[in-house]
Amino acid sequence: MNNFLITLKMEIRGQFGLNGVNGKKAIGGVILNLLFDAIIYAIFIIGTYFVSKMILRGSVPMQYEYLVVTTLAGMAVELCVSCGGLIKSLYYDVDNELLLRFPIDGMELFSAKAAFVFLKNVLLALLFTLPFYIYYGVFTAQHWGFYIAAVATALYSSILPFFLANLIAVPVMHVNNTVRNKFGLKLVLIIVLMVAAFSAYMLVLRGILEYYQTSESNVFFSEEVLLKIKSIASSLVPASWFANVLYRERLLLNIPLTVGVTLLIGAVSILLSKKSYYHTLLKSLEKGKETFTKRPPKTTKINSPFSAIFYNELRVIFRSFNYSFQYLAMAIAAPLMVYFCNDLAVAVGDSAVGGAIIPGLTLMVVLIFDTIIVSFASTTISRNGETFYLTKIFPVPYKTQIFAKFLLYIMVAGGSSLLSTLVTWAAFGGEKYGGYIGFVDVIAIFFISLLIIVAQTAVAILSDLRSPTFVVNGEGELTKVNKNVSNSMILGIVVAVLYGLVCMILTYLPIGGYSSGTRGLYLILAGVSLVIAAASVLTLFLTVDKKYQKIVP
Amino acid sequence: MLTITNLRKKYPKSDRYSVDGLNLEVKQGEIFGFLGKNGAGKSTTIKCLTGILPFDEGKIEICGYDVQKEPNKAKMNVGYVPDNHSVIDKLTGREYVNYVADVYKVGKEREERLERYLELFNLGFAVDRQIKSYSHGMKQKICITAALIHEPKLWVLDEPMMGLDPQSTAEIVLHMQEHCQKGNTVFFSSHNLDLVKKLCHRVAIINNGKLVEVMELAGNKANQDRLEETFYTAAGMDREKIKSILELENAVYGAGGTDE
Repeated sequence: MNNFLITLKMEIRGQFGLNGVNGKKAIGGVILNLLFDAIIYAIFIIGTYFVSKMILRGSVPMQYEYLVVTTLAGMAVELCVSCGGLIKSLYYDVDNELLLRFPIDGMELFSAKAAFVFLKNVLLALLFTLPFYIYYGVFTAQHWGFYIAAVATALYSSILPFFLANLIAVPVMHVNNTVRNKFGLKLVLIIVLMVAAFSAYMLVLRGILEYYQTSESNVFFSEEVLLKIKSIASSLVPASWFANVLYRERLLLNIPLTVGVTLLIGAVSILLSKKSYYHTLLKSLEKGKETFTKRPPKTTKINSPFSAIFYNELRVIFRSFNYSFQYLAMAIAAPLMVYFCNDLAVAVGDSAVGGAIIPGLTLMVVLIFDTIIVSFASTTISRNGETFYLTKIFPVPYKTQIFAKFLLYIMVAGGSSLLSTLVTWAAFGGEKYGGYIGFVDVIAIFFISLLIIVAQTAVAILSDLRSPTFVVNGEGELTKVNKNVSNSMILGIVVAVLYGLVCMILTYLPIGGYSSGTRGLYLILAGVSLVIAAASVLTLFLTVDKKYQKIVP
Repeated sequence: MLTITNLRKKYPKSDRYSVDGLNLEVKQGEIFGFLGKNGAGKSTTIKCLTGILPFDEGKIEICGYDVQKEPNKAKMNVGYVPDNHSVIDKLTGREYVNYVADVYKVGKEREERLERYLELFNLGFAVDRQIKSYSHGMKQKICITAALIHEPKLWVLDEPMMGLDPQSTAEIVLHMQEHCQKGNTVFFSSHNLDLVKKLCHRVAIINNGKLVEVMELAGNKANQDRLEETFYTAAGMDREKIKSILELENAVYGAGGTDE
C-alpha cells in the first residue's frame, strides 16, 4: 500500500474514532452513535420533506428558486465543513508532526488528508443536497432521467466548495498564525463577526417581513415579489448555474459555465496548495510552539484552592481559540442575538397573534441560547486531556473541584441569560408592545432560565464524567466534539421549545385572565424547573466521587 | 512514612493482577528506589498511592493517613512527579506553580521557594513563558518545582531521569539528597541501576506485581554488588545470560558498575 493510501486509511480510522475499537462494548458504542446519528438524520429528512412539499406544491410554486436555494445551501454547508475539515486536518492534526518525520512527501500528506475531506464532502452532497433534488423530482413529477442528473449534479457541485475551501484555508491559517497568542483580540474579532453575521441575517429577514407588511396588496407572493425572488435566485451564482442544469435551462451555456468555473478554481487551488501547503504547515508547527511571555507579577496573589480551580478554568478557556469561540463569544453575543430574534418574532407575532407571545418567545429564545452556551460543560473532564490525572492527585475533594467549574459555567450562562432578559425588557417592555413584558416577566424568565441552566450544567458535567474522551490535538484542545455535547444540545433545545410553546400557547389562549394566568404559569414552570434542577444537582454531587475515581489512565 | 499493605490491583480488562499482594514500608528520611522491568507494576503502585488509580484490596498509608479513608490529608503530604510530565501547557511556568501552590494551600513562602528552585534548575529565564514552549527537560523541572512547592514529606517520582541531560539529572539527584536530609522521604522508580546504587538507602525489586526483594544498599557493599544480578534474576533472565552481561559490564565499567 502506498503512503497516500496508508495515510488516508489512518485519517478515516482516526476521524471516525475507529482506532482501538475492540471488544463488544466499544463496538456497541460505535453502533449506538451511528443509531443516534440516524435518528437525527431521519428528523432532518422528514422535516425537509414537508417544507419541500409546501414550497413545491403550494399555491405559488417556486420550483426554480427551490433548486437554486437548496443547491446554494448544500454548497454553503459543504464549503463550511470543508474549510473546518481542511484547517483541522491539514494544519492542526496532532499527527502532522509525526508524519513529517516519515518518508512521506508533503504533497502525499496533503493529498491523503485533502482526499478525506473531499470524501466527507461527497457524503454530504449525497446526504444533504440529494434529498432536496429527489423531493423536487417527486413533487414536480420528473422523468427518471432527472434522478440520474440529480445524483450527478449533487456530486459534481460538491467539487467547487472543496476547491474554494482549499483557497480559503491557506490565508486563514496565515491570519491565525499572526494573531495566535492575542487572545483578547481574537475573542473580540469573533464576537464582532458573529454578531455582524447574525444581525445581517436578521435584518434581511426583518426587511422581507416589513416589505410584506407594508405592501399595498398585502399578498406576499405578488407578481412583483415573485419576479424579484426569481431575479435574486438567478443571480446567486454559481449555485444558479448548477440549478439551471437541473432545471434544463440554457444547458449549452450553464454546463460549460459550471465546468469552467470548477476547473479554474480547481487549478488555482491545486497550484496554491502545491506551492504553499508544506511551507504553511511547517510555519504552523513552528508558530504552534511560539508562545507569549508574561511580565513577572509584583506581588503573588494567593487564592484558596476553590478560587484557584475556578480562575484556572476561566484562564484556560480564554487562552484557547476554539473554547473562547464555543463558549465566551457565544455567552457575550447571546443577548444581542436574543434581541434580534425577539425583534423579528415581534414583527411576525404582533400582527398575527399579538404581543402576548413575547414572554413565552423570550423564554424559548433565551433557553435555546443558554443551551448552546451550557453544552460546553459537556467537555468539563475531556478538555483536560492527560492533565485530568493531575486533578486526581490534588488534595481537594473531587466535589469541590467540580463545584468550582460548575459555578463558573452557571455564572457565565446565568450572566448571559440575565443580560438577555434585561435587553428584552428594555427593548420590548414599553407601551409600544402593550406592556406585555413587564418586570415580573423579566424576573420569572430569568429565574426559570437560571434553574434550567443549573439543571443542564449538572447533566452536561455528569455525562462527561460518565464517558470522557481525552482526544486532544497539539494545542491541547479536543480534536472532536464528543457525543455528550450533541446530547445535551438536543435535550436543551427540546426543553426550550417545550417551555416556550407551553408559555406562548397558554398566554395566547384566553384561560383564566391574562395576568394571573401568566403568573400561575410561571409558578408552575419554575416549580417544575426547580425539581429538575434539584434532582440533577443532587445526582451530580452524590455520584461525583465514584465517577471521578472510575476515570483511569 | 509510607506503608503499603497487601496491595492488589487488577485493571478492568485484564485477567491478571498488575500489583499482587505488595507489602512495603518506607521510612522517614530515606531515599527508596523502586525497581522492576517494564510492566512489573511500578507505575501502577505509584498511581495507586497518589490517588490516580483506585485499588481492589489492601491498604496504603501516607504519614499515617489511609489514602482511601482520608485521601486529601494523605495527598497533602505527597509531591508527585509523573513519568509523562503532564502539565497545563497553556499556563506560564510561574502561573502553573502558583496554581499548584494555591491548591496545596501554600502561603507567601511560595515566592522564596519558587526562586530557590528556579535558581537550582536554572529555569528563571523561562518561568514567565508559556509551558508549551518548554523542552522535555524544562517541563520535567517545572513539574518537580510544582511537586515540591508545598515541601511534601513524601516526594514520589516515576522514572524522573528519563530523557534528562546529565546536568539536570545531577541537579535532581542533589535535590533528592537535600530533601531527604531535611527528614523527608523520597520514593522513586527507575531503570538506572547505577544511580539507584549510589543514591538509595534501600530498594525494592518487583516483578509481575509481586515483591521480589527489599535490599539495604547504604553502607552495604555486598548488596550493592549483587543488585544487578538480583534485578536480572527477578526479571526472569536465565543464569548464563546474566553471567555474560555481568562479565561484559565488568569489562567495560569495572566491577559493580553499569552506566545508563
